[in-house]
Amino acid sequence: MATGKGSRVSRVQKNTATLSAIRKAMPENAQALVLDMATDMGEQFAILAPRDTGSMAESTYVQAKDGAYQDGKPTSIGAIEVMARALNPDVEFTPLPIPTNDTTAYVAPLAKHYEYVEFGTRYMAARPTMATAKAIVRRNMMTKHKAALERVATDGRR
Amino acid sequence: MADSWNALGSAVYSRLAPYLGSALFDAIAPGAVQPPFGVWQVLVTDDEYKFGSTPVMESIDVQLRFVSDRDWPDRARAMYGTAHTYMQDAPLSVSGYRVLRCRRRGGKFQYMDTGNFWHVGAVYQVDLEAT
Repeated sequence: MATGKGSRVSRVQKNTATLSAIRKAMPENAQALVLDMATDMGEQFAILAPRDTGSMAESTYVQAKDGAYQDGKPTSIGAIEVMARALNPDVEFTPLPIPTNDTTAYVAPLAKHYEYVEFGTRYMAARPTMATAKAIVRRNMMTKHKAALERVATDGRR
Repeated sequence: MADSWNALGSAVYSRLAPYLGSALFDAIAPGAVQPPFGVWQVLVTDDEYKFGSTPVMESIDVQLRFVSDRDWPDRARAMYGTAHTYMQDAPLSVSGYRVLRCRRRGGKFQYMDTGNFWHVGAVYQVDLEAT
């Protein structure tokens, strides 16, 4: 706006193209971030989990809406069951529910006795390994997952 | 750290015992105790520091779990329901700390263990600021 002799006309122009691209790419980037963090939680749990046969720790997986993952790679419940039974023929299984959206993922071992170990029984105190894994991932947010976080907020590329 | 856990345990017990009785134990109930009973247990703590070596804030995940030997989980569920009423946003009095938040943060669970005891409970996040 002109304000007098020697004034400079300036104009602010909004560029919504980039913002629109970021918004459009956000669901996919958010999905990648969720999978990134869920994978990390599974890995931390597998490192910390108490082990006897190893069937609990090794059957840890991520259940996303589009399928199951182990170590960041697609897998199947059947494959995990075969692997866990090879370690412990008596192991029973409780599959995770399938999320109803792309930005939710569940992480836990397929082995049913996980809940006894994690939450405790009548005669055994809880051994909260997944809680510790969650705390580690929370702390890793601004380091290990920083790139994925930044992509959600800034990356409009597909 | 150990001080905050003991102080928090005392606060949780003081808060819940008037409504649930004295059968509330730290981590595990003695073998001679008959169900139903409750167990509270610290799971994990996140510390925040400023410039000193003592944390100024501790965010503590606490499990509250109720155990019953009935055929169905109704009694354990009822006890947990009562506990939740008094734990959610509870005005806990934790010695040496100001309680910023006490809230259920997911992790609600119900299961039967191999001894046929029902367990119903949840995880609460308690944020404490050192005074």
